Amino acid sequence: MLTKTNITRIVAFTLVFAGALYYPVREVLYYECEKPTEYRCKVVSAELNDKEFEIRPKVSGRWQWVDYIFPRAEKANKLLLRLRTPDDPGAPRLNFVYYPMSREFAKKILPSFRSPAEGGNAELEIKCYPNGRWSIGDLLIDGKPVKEPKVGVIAP
Amino acid sequence: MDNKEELRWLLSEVPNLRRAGVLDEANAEALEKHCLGELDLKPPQWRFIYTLFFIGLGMVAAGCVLCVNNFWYNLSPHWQLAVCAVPAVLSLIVGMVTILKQKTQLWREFTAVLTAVAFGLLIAMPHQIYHTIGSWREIYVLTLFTALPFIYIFNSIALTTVYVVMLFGLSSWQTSHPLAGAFAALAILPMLHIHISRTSPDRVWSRYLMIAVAGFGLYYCGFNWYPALSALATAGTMLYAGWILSERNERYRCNPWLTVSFVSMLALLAMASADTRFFQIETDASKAALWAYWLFTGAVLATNIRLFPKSRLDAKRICTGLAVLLPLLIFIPGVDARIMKIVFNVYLGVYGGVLMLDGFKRSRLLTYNGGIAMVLMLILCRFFDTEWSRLARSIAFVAIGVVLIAANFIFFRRRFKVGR
Repeated sequence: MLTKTNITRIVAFTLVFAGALYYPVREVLYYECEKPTEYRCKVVSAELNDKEFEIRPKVSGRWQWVDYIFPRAEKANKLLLRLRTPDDPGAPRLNFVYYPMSREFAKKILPSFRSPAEGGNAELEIKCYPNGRWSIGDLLIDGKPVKEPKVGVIAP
Repeated sequence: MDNKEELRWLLSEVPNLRRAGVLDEANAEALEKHCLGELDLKPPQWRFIYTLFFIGLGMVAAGCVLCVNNFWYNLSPHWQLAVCAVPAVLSLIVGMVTILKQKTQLWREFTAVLTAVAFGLLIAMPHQIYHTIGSWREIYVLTLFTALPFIYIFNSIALTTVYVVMLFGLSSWQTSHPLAGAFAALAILPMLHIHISRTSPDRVWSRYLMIAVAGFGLYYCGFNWYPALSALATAGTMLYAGWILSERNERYRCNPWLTVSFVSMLALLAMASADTRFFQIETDASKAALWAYWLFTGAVLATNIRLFPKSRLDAKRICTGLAVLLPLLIFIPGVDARIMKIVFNVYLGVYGGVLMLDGFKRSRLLTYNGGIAMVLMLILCRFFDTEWSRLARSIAFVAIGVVLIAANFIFFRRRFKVGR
């Protein structure tokens, strides 16, 4: 029913709706249209957080507390990479990142990691966007990107 | 029949009357139909159907989320964005239908919450999709402010509740701009005021929400400069409002302002009479923090001035007004925190006495007990921090205890006489 109140409400709703789209659209345009600056960070070490859970008793005063730690819940399917960031002043200062991948795939590729001291050449691409945000790009071992095959996709 | 309570009672009696044989099947059905029509209610079976509908809707939504989750990482970023935009598109359609078809309040609540959630999703997800480290604070504040216009457009009390709960999230970041919290709190006040001042079915719930907003404002803005003024002004204003409702014989659970403000006032006056740090003024406050402080305190003081002439002018109200004005004494040259402490000791005793007298005169037990609580609080505080000997304290306690017992005895005798 197009009463005066309803028209006002619809105009207000449409305007607010369009206004609320501003932030997400602006963010997406940053990532889609602006070319990020890419930096390559040396991977010093790689670890898999495969602890199922850990019970750690902690004695405090006369009470004994037990901390239950479930890293699987927090860091499952992630590889902990310790990094050495390049000297470029624009590069983000990162000590470590969690790289997302499945547990099985991480276990498979972990033996191929060697530290730079052992002559290994593993690098991680970091993309820096003009809005100040950064994201993790490809993981490269000896210059080749490590790509996990997509689960559930049937090869043609 | 105008009284809905009586209609409801009649409706609840229909099965008993049918069992007793007073009403036959046809008459019972006709009476039930008439009552439901008058009350504008659906039969009780509808509640069950509604419940099942919402459980089913929840399961469908959860199933869709799980399904999307399963395939999420196989989708390209563009498809992921498209999936995130689905709730927003849905909310646009539902919003238009709700407004144009003038749907019921339940629909409006659903639409408002759906739209706010859809935009929360749309604001947060680009960071997840492009694997960037988004600022959680930025996402949270944006989601909060985006929800605000939808509250007003759909007149939604459910989204208002979510908004008020989310307000407290702002206080968990030290880096949040002081004015953001002040604006967020002030922006919801007109909505709550509309519900409280009109005969809205949600007016009681809005009173509870108002306490939460006042608490948040006090915590977020009120401590930025001179906490004594903002805290006592908030408690005093709420006490006025509580009294106005109490004079209208509002039920106890429908008037949360009275209890909360009285307990807060008692605690604040106890602190003021015990510790000089209560009157400390924050000298390092930034300009924005000061603005936030005065926005909040100004709004509270304006409400106080607006409520003052609405109630009967008596010693009780003048005393409460003094609680708002007394913290300003510290700005008089020569008055320091020690003098303020003495002033508030005297004030707590006088306020308690005035409340006791007022309760006694009007035979109102609640006011009388409030006065006793104030006097007892003063005695308790001084018992712990004065350096009298044990004997002097014991004599003082016995004397005050005897006075209280005598006062109670006289009060109950008077009430008994008045009652007879």
